[in-house]
Amino acid sequence: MLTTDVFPYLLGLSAFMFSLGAAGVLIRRNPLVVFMCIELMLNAGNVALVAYGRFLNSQEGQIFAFMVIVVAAAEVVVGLAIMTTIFRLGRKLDVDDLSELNE
Amino acid sequence: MLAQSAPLVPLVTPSANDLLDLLPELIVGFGFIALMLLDLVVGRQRWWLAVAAIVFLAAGFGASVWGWFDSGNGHTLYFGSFAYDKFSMFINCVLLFSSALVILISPHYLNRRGIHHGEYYALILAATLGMMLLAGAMSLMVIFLGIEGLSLSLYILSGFSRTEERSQEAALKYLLLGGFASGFLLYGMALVYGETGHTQLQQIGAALHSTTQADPMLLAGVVLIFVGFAFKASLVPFHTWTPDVYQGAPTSVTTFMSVTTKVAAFAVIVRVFTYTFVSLYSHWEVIVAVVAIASIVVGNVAALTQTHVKRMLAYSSIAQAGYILIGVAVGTLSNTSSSITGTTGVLYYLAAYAVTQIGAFAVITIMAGRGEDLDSYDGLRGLAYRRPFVAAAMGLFLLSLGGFPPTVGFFGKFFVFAAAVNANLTLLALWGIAGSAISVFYYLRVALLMYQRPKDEQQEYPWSRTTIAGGTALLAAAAGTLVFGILVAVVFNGAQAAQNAILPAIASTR
Amino acid sequence: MLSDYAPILVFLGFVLLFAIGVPSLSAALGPRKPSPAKDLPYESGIVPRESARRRFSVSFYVTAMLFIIFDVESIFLFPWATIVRQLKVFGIVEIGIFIATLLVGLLYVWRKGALRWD
Repeated sequence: MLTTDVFPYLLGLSAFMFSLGAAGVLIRRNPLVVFMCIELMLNAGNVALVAYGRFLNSQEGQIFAFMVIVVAAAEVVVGLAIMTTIFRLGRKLDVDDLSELNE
Repeated sequence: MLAQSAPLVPLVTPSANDLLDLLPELIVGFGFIALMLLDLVVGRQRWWLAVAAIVFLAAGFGASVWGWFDSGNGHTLYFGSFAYDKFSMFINCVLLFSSALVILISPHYLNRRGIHHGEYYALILAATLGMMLLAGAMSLMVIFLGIEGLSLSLYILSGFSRTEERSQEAALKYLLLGGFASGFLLYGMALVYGETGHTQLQQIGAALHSTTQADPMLLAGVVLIFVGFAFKASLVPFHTWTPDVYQGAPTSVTTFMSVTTKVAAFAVIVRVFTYTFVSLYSHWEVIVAVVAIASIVVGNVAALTQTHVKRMLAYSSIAQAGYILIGVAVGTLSNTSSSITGTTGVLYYLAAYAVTQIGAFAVITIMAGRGEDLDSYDGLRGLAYRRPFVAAAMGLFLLSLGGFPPTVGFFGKFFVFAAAVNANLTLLALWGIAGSAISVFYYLRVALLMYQRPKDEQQEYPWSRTTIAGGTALLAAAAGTLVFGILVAVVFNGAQAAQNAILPAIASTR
Repeated sequence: MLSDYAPILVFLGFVLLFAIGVPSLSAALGPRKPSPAKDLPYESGIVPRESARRRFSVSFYVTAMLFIIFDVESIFLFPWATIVRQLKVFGIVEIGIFIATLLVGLLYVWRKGALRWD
């Protein structure tokens, strides 16, 4: 049973996950890894939502988390599809190489 | 048996009226699914899909107009999570009109580029649906769903040219940066939900109103939400994706997203910031004002040096977003009894921006060559001698973007700046006016290029012919730019009525 | 209350006993005659022909993507299932529309040939 004692740690965990994800997006070069970091950020939001929901004894946080999970899955599918297409065009995947448009 | 942790609450199912009031969204949503199925049966006759898409958009437009008169002072649907008010109907009308114009110019362009796939129309409708959800959203959940609905569709649309690297690169950039922004948005929403205990805007507004001091966590949440929205509206410093994505995406898609995404994003910014976070105004006002000024400066200065119309319009759209944001920064302040408020200005500007920007991009779309966009400044030289009507229309759109009377662009700027002056934010208005002055250079530069004599070696420029559908779209946009400029009152009164009926009503008046 | 979980504890005990006991018994009692064929990684009885680290057909990715999307959509069935009795007809209609939408997606994927392997 979740008590108020655990709640700060959960919030801390979500903040840590969020920072890790944000840092990863800024540092990493492989689009797949960047994409995973984005998912980490979304999941940090999920942890915060569920923790708050339990803390406030309201259902909304959990329902919100459900929505986010589904949306994140859709985003993954679209992202993988785009990366697969680029891969089939014969490009090496590196975000620093994405400079075709910056002439 | 496991112990039940919470007592069962009696279930209330939503009434059928809620479903009826959701009619515009339902029509477009149904249209999205229907177009997917139609795509399976039409085979090569893809223009049928365009016709069907326009029918659905027109039906949604009709339902929105009906909703405008039916909604009265507005009420919420589904236990407070969706708004049925004049504000959302106003935005719906702008969105649906813009989408229909984009569909008009699309088939010919897609055919010429060799990317005429049936999914295009379904995706446009899906994005429109996401934007409509955003326009009426009264709950953080619906806002998130709307933002992601429109983003996911646009990611795919940006990469619609599957064999072209530029298009794929645009899609990947948009996806990665868009996902990054979604992460910020979601975390901000989680913090606001946690600190106020609600996900519904009305209850959040009430909860904020009853607390005296703002918690740092709450403010962090508000800022993170603004970051998420600012990305969608391409405001500085979250604008870096804009020029690349606008340039790389197929032009008809650029037309669509440069207009409708901004309209939807500003609708939700107004609803969330101006009307829900109203009691935190003193905290977010500065941030919004600084972002507005930065967008105006960066957008205009960067646009000066561009040599391609698509990139120039991309930077100019960043500046336009800055002007619109001035109206948001004004908030609900007004020191006189003057009727021009920030929100009215924003709504008028959005309508003006929609017709003008669609027109300008439509010209580029219509001119597109086989397999490539002919949007370099050199390519436009002498357009007026070969295609006088198209050039005249483009000139009109450029004048409107630059803010010359009697076009809509002038009145859009006028109302937003007047609202700022009314609220004693004269400095903000001056920044806007200075920005507009700079913008005149690059808009007129393109306009003058079109009226220069073409060079001799340029005789065989492979401009596309103007089709009937493309001509209709241009004519509609040009008519909108002029007519709504001359008959200002039509749109202005609408914007004002929409502003007066917006939900959530400000807590202090209750 | 807690005694309700006793069977699970017993079950866990048996699982541990078998999981550790049987392999260690076979290791202790079984004869050991190593040969090259026996040292190969066991792959359903088929001798591996090449390294697994090579490019996979795009079909795998497409299938994986389709799986994710349809798999995750089913998450909405869980909260619905907990209150389906109370929702009565409304719940059935609502989930019917939801599943019908998914079926349209499936139909689309199928007709577009994304389910075909080659």
